[in-house]
Amino acid sequence: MGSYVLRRVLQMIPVFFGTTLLIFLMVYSLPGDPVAALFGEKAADPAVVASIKHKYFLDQPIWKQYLHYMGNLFQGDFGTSFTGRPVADIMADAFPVTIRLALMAFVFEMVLGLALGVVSGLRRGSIADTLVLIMTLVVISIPVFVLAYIAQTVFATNLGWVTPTVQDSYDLSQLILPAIVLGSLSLAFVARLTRTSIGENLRADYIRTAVAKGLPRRTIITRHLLRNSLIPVVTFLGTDLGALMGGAIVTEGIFNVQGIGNVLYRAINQKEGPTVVGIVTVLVIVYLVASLLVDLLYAVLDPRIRYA
Amino acid sequence: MPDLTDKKTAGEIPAQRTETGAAPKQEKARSLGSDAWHDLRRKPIFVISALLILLLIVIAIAPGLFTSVDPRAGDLRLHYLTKPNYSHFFEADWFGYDLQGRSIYARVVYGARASVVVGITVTLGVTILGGITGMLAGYFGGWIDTIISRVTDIFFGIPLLLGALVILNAFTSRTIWSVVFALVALGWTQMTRVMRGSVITVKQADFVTAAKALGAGTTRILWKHILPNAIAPVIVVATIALGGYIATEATLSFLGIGLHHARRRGARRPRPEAPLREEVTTPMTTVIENDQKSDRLDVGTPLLEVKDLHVEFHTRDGIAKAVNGVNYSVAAGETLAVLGESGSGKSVTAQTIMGILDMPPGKVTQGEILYRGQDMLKMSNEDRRKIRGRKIAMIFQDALSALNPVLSVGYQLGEMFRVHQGASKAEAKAKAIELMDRVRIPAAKQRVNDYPHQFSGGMRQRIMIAMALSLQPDLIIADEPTTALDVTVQAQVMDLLAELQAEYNMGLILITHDLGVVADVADKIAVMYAGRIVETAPVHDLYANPAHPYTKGLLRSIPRLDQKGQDLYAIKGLPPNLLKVPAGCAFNPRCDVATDLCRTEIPALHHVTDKDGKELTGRRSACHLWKETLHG
Repeated sequence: MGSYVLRRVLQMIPVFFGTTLLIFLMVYSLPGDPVAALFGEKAADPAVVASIKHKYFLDQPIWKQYLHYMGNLFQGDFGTSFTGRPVADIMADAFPVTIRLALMAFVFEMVLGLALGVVSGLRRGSIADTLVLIMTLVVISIPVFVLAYIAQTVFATNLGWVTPTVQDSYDLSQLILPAIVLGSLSLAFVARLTRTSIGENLRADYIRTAVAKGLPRRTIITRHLLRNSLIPVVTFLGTDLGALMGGAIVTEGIFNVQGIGNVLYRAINQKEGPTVVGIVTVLVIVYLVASLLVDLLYAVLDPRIRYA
Repeated sequence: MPDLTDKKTAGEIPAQRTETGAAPKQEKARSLGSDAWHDLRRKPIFVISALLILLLIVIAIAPGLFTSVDPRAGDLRLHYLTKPNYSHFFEADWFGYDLQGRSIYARVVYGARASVVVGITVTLGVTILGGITGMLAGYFGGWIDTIISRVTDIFFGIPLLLGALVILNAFTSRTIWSVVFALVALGWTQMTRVMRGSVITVKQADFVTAAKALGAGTTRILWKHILPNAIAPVIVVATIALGGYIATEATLSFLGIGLHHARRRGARRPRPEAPLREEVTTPMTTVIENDQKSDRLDVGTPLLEVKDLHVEFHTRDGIAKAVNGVNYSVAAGETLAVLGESGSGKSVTAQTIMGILDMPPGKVTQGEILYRGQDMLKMSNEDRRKIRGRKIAMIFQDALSALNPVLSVGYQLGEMFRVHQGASKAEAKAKAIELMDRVRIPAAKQRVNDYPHQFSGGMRQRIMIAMALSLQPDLIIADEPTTALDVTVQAQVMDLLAELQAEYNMGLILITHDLGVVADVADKIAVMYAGRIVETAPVHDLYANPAHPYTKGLLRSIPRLDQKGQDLYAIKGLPPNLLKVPAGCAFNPRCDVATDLCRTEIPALHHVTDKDGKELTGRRSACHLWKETLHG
């Protein structure tokens, strides 16, 4: 196990550099002049532009820029945004919000998704099952921005339970509605995945054995059925937690949540290279760690898988 | 729902490959494909979904057919002065007007075009790009695989939406093709992974080895042998991804980065539902049927008696009569071997006794199953459960799949004591070790926490036996307990079973199709054919002198050392289709001595007499010609 983890960590290194280089290239080498964009409609003073470019290393060849950036990164310096604010500061403000939102969405999708999936998986063809299938299909079919607007209209405009957008991103109660919207798509996947998995495992030979052993139904479901059925679901949930941590551009945008997604969206539009690259670098690390954890978790759940 | 044309390709590509001949797997793929296609066409849900997709494509190709209004022409006043008129089908104000006074209906129609174009071209692009790279990585392996796999890893680290935003931001004027470009550039690695995995599996197939051995070139192998067989999962993923790309494009538009004119597309687009396997009703709720209270146990009767049992399966093609009036009984310490081909109803009978038959589709239409004189079919679920495992236990054929893969064998053995006897965790474990010792598993103490996959086939079957024996039941039903094992291991396992049975004086029902297994252990034999018992006899009498032509045929088909050099006998024909059992004796089409009587009248299970007319105890034969068969 230890050597497997080590090998996986070593494998992550080239992927880390590759991904950051890729995003670096996408941000800095694609057409469009970020410094000119800073001045908006106004004509820029060439001298000022040159000095800014020099300050941000933009007058260097792209590979030198990348090396310079990486060098700073390993000293804990994420660089400075064009507005002069350190990228690390920007992230320190936004990440706590995104983490809260992500965790709430995660708990919501996991608890409700599993419950719905188990109920509909055990009672195939029942009314409850049909309802779950229809509801999840609707959620999967609708893009998240439509869902967000519907939620806004119903709960804020019509019912008046919440304000249409989040006023204070650090207030957990205000994050509930965005979290539900954010988690709903994954909830639909979790419910369907659980349902399918339970349905498949119900027909497995070892369930027949458990019945033949004279075990009570409860024991059969909790000890024999669920553990096996949850393996693919847990894998999905693990990957999804990694994805949720990346912030939700659309949901955060609509509900005005000041998280990573919102910051990133603005940074991309303003060609704020340092901010985009900094955030994406962190996201890549989160993604790599999440996928490693999923693999390890998989081995814990399924003893047939042993990493050596 | 999956795209019509894609499904069709999935079925047809392998079909075109059959002229290469040397590929049995392709033959199979082909028939599977066309069967599936045939089945699909009969499903209304598929037809409806396919028509919807088709409609979408037609709208994309010719939006002018559906509206004559220009989606871009707006009159600001219209938004305020006109309300949607939902009965004005296909007219400009059907859905009303947007803030700029443009017809929403016209915009939906034209918006569909962008969605379909983006969806289809992106899917095609990623499939081609990912397909080629995946095929190279999967087929050649080595450094090619390493490079391609690392590149896909790198791309996986970047969220699709995020990357697309960055790329699209670089385009000063964005068209539909810049969206397509961004999505293909970021999405192709998904297909690479799928294709790589699929190719690696197909690469190991025998027909690829055969093609290589026949000297086929790499290109030919890749194109003719690997591609058609490996493409199926890619097509499935592509169909699902199609919907995803359309959604991504809509989201990009929403963020103001996609196509500007397409901004307000609604959610009116059918999306592929995650492909769920065809589902059959589950067994859990159905192993349980009657709820009448049980009477007192009656001692002095046989341990188990099956009386006139009838079981049917209700299938889509009709009613399959799997068991048609089976009678047998087992006493304590006795071994009954139930012999028959697959489909003879031997396992269905056993599953009905155990109460683990899937109902539906199975259904007991008639008969009784008496355990110590009590009809189990009339017992409550709870009473029945308490008999299972404790009084009647079962040994299954394939121990690997019959044992739970994620629980240790110690847990699964100990569970019997915990559930039925309320033992503590520690007690249960001690008992589990004891049991494992009892079935002679070496180093039981060290291995008690191991998982089923860590044992050999023979050891696993021993664990199965230990589990069945754990509560010292009165009766054990062993359903082909040795079929999955090597011949030498078979003998060991059978010996163990026989020994333990004698020791605990248990009744044993041994279900098998293997006459060789039966001879040593059984006391009496019941031969089944098409859901009926056709002959019963004490084991030695049956071997010495069968009273039914079917039994006779079975015995003749055993290879014998004293008949070297002769062709091995085989009963002609195939077991009957249970949906259409032949009239009269079900065996008559395969019987060498069948008469007209056999073709019209179902033979009763006759008592059998010897040449002097004295009844032979325990011998019955369901043949009109039993006399001729036995004595002739």
